[in-house]
Amino acid sequence: MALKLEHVSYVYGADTELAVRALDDICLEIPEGQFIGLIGHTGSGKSTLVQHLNGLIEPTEGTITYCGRNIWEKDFPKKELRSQVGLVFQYPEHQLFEVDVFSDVCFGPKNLGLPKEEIQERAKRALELVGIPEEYYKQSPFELSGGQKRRVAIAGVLAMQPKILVLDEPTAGLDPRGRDEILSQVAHLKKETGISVVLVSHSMEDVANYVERIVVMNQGRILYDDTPSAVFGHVKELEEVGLAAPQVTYILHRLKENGFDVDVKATTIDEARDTILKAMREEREC
Amino acid sequence: MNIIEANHLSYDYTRFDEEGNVEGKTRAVSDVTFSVAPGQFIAILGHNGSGKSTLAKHINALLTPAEGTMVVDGKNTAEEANIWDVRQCAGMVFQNPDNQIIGQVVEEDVGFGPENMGVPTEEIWQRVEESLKAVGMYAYRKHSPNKLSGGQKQRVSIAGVLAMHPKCIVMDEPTAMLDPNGRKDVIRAARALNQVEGITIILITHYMEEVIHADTVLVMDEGKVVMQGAPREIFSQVERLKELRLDVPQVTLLAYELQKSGLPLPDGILTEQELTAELKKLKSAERQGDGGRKG
Amino acid sequence: MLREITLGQYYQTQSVLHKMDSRVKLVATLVYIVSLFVVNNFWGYLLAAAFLALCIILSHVPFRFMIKGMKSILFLMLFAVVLNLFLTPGEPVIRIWKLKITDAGILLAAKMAIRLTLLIIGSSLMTLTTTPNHLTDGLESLLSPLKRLKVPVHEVAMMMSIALRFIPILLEETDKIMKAQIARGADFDSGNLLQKAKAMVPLLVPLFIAAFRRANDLAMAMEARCYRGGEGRTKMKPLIYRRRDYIAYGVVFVYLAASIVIGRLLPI
Repeated sequence: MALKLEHVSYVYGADTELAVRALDDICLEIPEGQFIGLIGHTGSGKSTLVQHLNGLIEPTEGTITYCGRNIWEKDFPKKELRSQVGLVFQYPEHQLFEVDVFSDVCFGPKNLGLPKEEIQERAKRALELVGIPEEYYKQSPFELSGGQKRRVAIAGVLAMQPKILVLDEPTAGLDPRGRDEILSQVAHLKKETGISVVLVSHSMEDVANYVERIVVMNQGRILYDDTPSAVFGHVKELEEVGLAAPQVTYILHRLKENGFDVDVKATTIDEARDTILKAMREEREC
Repeated sequence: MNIIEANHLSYDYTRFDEEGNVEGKTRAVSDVTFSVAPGQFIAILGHNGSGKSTLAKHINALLTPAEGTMVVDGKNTAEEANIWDVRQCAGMVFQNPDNQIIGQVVEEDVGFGPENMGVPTEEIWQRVEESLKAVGMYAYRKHSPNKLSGGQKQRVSIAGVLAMHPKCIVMDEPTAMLDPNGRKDVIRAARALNQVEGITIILITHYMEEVIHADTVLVMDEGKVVMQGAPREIFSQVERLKELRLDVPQVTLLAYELQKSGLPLPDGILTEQELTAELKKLKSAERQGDGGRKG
Repeated sequence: MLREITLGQYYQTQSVLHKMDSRVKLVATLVYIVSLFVVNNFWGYLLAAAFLALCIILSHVPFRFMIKGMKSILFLMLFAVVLNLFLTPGEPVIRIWKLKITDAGILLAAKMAIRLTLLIIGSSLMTLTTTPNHLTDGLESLLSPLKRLKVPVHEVAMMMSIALRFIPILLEETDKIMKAQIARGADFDSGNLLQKAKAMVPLLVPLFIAAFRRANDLAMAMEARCYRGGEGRTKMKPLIYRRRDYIAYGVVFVYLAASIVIGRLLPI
């Protein structure tokens, strides 16, 4: 079921003098059931990469295969690919258009040509997964709060029942409450459905708490592809490419330099607290 | 004299039904009283819908209070005759960088405000140059705004306000749509204006790490000011902030967790340096007391 | 995709025409169009073509850019020529079934073709050498006498320049929404006309909402920066006539006089 990118490159405006190499020799595999964070600052190529995953952009070089089949083969069913690899764009609430929440979520499955009952069932399930209660179904999507709108938009993609869900900056422009709601909702639906989730972000702190693997992009290339703690170990290198590790990592590195025996691999607040307490305790005992 | 004085200010949004009849009113700001001295850096925190943007629009006379008063630089914003003076005195920067740039060239956009005020041509050029230099965007003066990054666009917007020679700049979530680098640049520009030019800054945000340098922090919830004080006072109340569903900087949160687990740390630690220094102090105290607190 | 479309057809280079005050260029274009309809013989057209050729050389814009503008109205031109060719009464030269081509018809059609070609190249020369910004400024200034008749000249010019600023942004937005809907299985390409029109709904509704949201934000931002219409406004880049502009006016009116004399008084 894996989606595989092999030596993928993409050049914007290939025939002009303004040609820009947005992606450069990307090799990436997205297996079943993994929670992946894709990190990079603006212009690192992460948004371009994401649009390759469901065949919106054709690579200039390299191949992309889904279940072993090249997605740019002549008669590859593109529509099916797009239902299997669900892509949620930045500010997805800007794509809402139907008169009520429920019909908007039905749009995706309807395009797949499913029978009516199945469409409704899927829409209901998707809305449940993002935590939108039934009393909102008949409301206009434009009357909801920012965080709710975004969850409805995510449900619109989920209703196609993808095997891989790609979320491009799902927390952009939300306040801390909306951000936490979205992220925990995504973690929840990941657990519920067991699908793969790719979380695109420029915030390490957002991602550190949830994902099991982090892919760092810089200037169209993959810089790191590893577990969060291994990636955050490269604090200096991350800094050089304009990315910051979570603040916790900095604190632990600073403490280590100051002679504390802490484990700098901790990435969340709870882990950091435990290692600091342990270091202080050992100090006391010796 | 205070530059901003809000006195029992309240504001209602009117809801209309489909025929345009008044359906009801929603109180967006409720009985807010606060004042700002010239040259201060004030931060207003609160999640979406807490009324902070509505309050900000009162400072610029884009909205006028339903009850109570808003006085900016000694002028009541409710009086029609004062509107243009108030808007010149208290400039405003908005959230979406794309929706507030009017000019097709950076320098023309910065000149828009002074043009409206009727400033003579030579002086406009002078002001545009000064303002763009103050935010570090002078090199981009001939560029099209469409080609700039979000952070650069916001700095152009700030320059556009600066060229009107305001005493005070209200920034309504200027960083909400930016990436970390853009956010840093905008906050740096805001702090420089405050410290170098002495301009009063009102920064509205939901990013906690942007407010730790403010003189005073106001926290809003459901239209009311629920907390007010220096950043350290605010951040020492971690539980209350969590209740309001606001973010606490990771270092403050970590210090709080350590404190809860029994380490005698002071309240409201705001920076990594502070935490390291405090932990070092604890460590050497342990050594000197030879584990005196053990057991 | 869509973002690659550039608006207006300004050609960036250095030339006398590029530097010239946009008001002069607007007036000159108007005068040129008038001259094309005043002249009535081929000497006049020859003069007009020579004048245009001179301007093109002065503009430093490659000639193929002028032709580009022609393509879009080729059909209209053919239509006008054919109509004149067949429907002008006179001495028939060629007969095709019931249609006849007359000598007067040939003459008229030829004149029409020359007129339209010169007219289009002439006006695209103006847009090629003037930024949309300067164009609106020039229009506003030239039309300002109409303010006395309560025509909102400043407001219209402001609207035009804001539209020019937001068109690229809205194009990009269209591109984004389109991709987002394609990701939800939408199909914008196949189906008959009705189905295609229906498929546009998921694109157009969000686009209109976005446009209104932007307009609302922008209005507020303008108000916050003390915008209150054209009254009492000064200009950062006021239009000032220089010597070359007066000379240009002189040349243009000498041309007009010459074309009246030659184009009207000489036979054929």
